Amino acid sequence: MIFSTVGSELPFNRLTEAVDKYAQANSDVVISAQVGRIGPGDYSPQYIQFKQLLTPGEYAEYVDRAIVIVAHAGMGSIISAITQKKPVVILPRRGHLQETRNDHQFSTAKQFESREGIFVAWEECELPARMEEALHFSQSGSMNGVSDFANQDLLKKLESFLRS
Amino acid sequence: MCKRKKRILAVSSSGGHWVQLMRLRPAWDHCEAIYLTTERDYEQEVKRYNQEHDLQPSAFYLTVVASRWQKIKLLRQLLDIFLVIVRVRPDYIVSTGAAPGYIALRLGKMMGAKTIWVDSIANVEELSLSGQKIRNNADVCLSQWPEVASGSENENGNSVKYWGRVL
Repeated sequence: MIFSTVGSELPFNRLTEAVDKYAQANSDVVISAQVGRIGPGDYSPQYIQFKQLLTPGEYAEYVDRAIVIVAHAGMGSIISAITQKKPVVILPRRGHLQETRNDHQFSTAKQFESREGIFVAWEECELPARMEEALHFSQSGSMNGVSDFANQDLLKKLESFLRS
Repeated sequence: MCKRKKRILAVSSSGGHWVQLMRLRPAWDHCEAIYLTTERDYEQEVKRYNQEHDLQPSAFYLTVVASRWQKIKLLRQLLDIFLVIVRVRPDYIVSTGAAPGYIALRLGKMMGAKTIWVDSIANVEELSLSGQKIRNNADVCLSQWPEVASGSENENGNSVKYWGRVL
């Protein structure tokens, strides 16, 4: 199963539509999606199962069951995917399209692009190719996980401040 | 003499801010930790961590979700957070953002707590808006990117530091 998430209550039509089109073209692939609070004018998927919102528990369950995650470039989505050793395809929300307040997701994507298991689609047309790469990667063996906690430097310095 | 444990109030909104706050937890295992967020279900995650690490149960408080344009909800958030700080009397307040963290650090600082702001790792090029507004009220203001930290000197001498990353 591929799990697609817009990461918040705000819909992300470019992502949801691209994933829906992918499902239409690849009927053998099962995709479950979280699409946000869709309103009038928002894209409503035809070819995938979807929910508007998920509880944290449901979210964790979908991540657990998925072989690949597709998400906006939010840190919550990225961190939960890679800590669970799931390859993740990210499409950044853009500031000039009013998908976020500023272009921070674009900068985030640039910084994380080189990490193992992270595949960036800079535009929605690149999404199918990145999804194929991620699916291929998921079959190639296990992904190196990351620690459940922040790096030791940060933890040590914080701790010593909290002991002062 | 028996010294009481230091009390830390850890605050964040839901989603990525919370995920990052959770990754900092080991830094305050020696403290009595109290959590304040906007999502009820997160309490399970806190309980699980405390059990797995043989820690005392943590008090867990909720406030409403509010964006900077929702004035009534922001007032409600302000009141909720004020009451928690009065009740808890934390020695330290730590936050990864966003609005509830900003409010908690402002109020906490006035009430004598030491305050720590950890700007989200998502802010790769500049400090978040909340981070820019809170830096003069934070005893420690951290960016997770060295370039952002070094480029953020200001005239009051409140430098933004880089101590590492959550990831």
